[in-house]
Amino acid sequence: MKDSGIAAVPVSATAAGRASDHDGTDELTFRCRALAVDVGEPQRRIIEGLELEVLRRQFVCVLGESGVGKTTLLRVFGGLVPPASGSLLELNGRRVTGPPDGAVFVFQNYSASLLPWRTARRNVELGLEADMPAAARQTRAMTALDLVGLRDRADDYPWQLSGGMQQRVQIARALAIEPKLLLMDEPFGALDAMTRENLQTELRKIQRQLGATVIFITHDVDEAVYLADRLIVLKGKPASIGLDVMTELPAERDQVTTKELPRFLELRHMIYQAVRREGQ
Amino acid sequence: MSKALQRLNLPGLAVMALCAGLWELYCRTLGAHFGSIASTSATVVALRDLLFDGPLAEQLWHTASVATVGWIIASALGFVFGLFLGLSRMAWTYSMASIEVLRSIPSISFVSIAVLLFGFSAKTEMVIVVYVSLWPMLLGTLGGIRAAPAGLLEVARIFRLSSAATFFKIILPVALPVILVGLRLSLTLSIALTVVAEMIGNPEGLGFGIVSSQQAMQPAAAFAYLLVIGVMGWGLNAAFGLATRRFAFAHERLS
Amino acid sequence: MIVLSRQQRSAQRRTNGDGAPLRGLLPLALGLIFWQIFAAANSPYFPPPSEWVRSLAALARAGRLWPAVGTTLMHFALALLICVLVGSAMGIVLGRSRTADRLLGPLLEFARTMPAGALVPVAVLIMGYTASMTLAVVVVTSFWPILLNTRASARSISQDRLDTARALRLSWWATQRKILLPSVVPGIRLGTQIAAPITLIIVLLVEIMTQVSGVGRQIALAQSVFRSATVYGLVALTGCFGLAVNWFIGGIGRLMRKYDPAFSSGVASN
Repeated sequence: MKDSGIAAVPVSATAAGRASDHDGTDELTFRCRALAVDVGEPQRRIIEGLELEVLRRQFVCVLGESGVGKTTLLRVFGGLVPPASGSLLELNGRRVTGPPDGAVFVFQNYSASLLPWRTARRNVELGLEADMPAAARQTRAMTALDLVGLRDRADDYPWQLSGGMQQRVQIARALAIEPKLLLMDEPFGALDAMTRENLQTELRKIQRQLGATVIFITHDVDEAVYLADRLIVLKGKPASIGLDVMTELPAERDQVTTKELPRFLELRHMIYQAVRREGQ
Repeated sequence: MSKALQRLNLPGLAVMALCAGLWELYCRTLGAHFGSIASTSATVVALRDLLFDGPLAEQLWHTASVATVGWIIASALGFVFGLFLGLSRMAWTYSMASIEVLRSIPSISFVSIAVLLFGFSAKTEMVIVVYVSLWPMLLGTLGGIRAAPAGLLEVARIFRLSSAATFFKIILPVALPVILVGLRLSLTLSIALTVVAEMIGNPEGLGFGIVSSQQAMQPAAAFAYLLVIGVMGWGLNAAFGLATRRFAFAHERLS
Repeated sequence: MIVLSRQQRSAQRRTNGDGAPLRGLLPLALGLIFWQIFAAANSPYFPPPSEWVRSLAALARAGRLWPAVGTTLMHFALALLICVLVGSAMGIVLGRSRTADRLLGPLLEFARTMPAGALVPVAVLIMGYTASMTLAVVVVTSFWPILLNTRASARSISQDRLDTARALRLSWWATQRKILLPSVVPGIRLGTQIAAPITLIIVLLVEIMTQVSGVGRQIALAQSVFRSATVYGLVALTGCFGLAVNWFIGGIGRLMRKYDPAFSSGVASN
């Protein structure tokens, strides 16, 4: 177990270093220093001086008030929006200057990001078509669909699937390329409560199974605490990290019992504090 | 009523037959003194005569082939230009306004210009058909290509699809329904303009047939030609509809 | 440079609704300028634009231009009005009555796909070279978009609106006036926007073919005596008509927006 070297983050709790899964290779996946982002006409600086280092296999949830810049930040991480000059953004040691190899983005609006003229399986194959022959692609796609529990709907079109299923197809599509980094922008925001809870549980299972690193945006505090190994609250104008804390919750989680743990309530309290302080 | 019969719409066809019958009745009674109309039966007789003893068959062939060939050429040209303008931002910026102006000129005006420049010939006919019919195809292709939703284009970016892959896997499938509409409009225009061109620009084909019947004051022949033109137009449209039915689904799903 | 490489802008790419920038007029302007410079004034096939203006002025001095323009525009306006009335009435009937729709279906389908030009000789036989013949041909060929779009909106009146009428116990006439008509207005508007340019084209078509009156007649006459400058000039004039019609169409759109802003880009049928 190594010290993460996250000295630069000025926060209250022990940040990182104690990834629950370990195989001795908790190397750094993702880092940014002095990250600044400008948007709009005329340009406004909405993120400033953001410092973050994420270890492999960490499940990081990012929270913050509406409009603080969570989505933009994730898009910057995903290479969809360029950061302002002077920022350092690296994935596995390589600068991010566009959608990086090994990272994939999952959008909140699943219906706008699935190709309606392709079946679920063909949608999942989209990211594989560049370098894989058809047979291998199909196997990989079916494996991914299996992971999200949609193997038997592989030949259905998006319009034949419910919202939750469509989002699962999008997730399967992301998983099919076996990404090292999964960036998810409120993926369950548009779903009903029951579907959301099921998908949360599935997502944690999948993440642990595949050993992927996840940066997950949500405005739902319970969801964030339930899913995360590490919680980050974005706050300020321009925004930077206001709270960065390890959840230290057990690896095996359950929608009912985990949410009754004292630590769970403590974390919720911390987050509400962090977010509310900004409102004053 | 079985499904196939349902689709055939027998009651509707019955109404058509009824109209034909009523027309016959009218022509024999109240309208008998009008020399310039022809009853259903007279029309059928004229049709038979024209077909077996007259030039109808080769005229039909001429019109149908010019319309179809003209449509194919126009569609190809319109598609290529539309593709170019849709994909190249610079080309679009520096020519779209001109295109808007040009396409506001009523297409019929170019028929006169074509006759002026090329005289009365088959070439004139083809030029007219191609020039006028390429516009719906150009505009349709252009519109379809530019309509790719931003969300899907971002998906292409996150999976690092090449420009070619983005074009074939996302832009083109989105554009396809609109392009098909353009194709159909183009076909309709091709047929219409072939007939018009034959009436004033090239004395051949069904257009010429109907005009000469009118000038010779032969209403039965004129009605017969009208019928043939109508059926030909309907037939070509139906053939097109059948051939492209598979692609229609994407349009609904996209919205 | 191909737009695909500018992926950064793709997220802000707007739909077709944005107007084309004025720089796009450059090719047209340049084309006309080159034509003017390089064509000989007496060129039989490609007289320069200055000649066009001169011949139109001559036509005006001879008293033949403006009456023709007036006739064409009047025929256009009248025909469009009749198209709207007939198209919307039929569209409403066909939209609300499945039976009527089914019975008249094939007949109307056949009439709709009939190429416009073909009707002219038959109309001339029956009605002679008259203004009513012109109007009849124009209306019968051009009102279809209005009919189809009105029918579509009449068909798709949401059940909620109809239930509202019943719950409020509106009379038949009040229902038609307060629920039906406002619901079909977007369809009528969209259909009119599509039909207007078609109407202009068919008016000119009939005028060119029958040479009875109007700008079309002048074009046909000029073409038959090889006065190419006049032909080009008149064609450019019809282009101005076309632009005016487009502007008028846009105006209708803006005017009608209060009825159903959400409908502004509805599915067009033609």
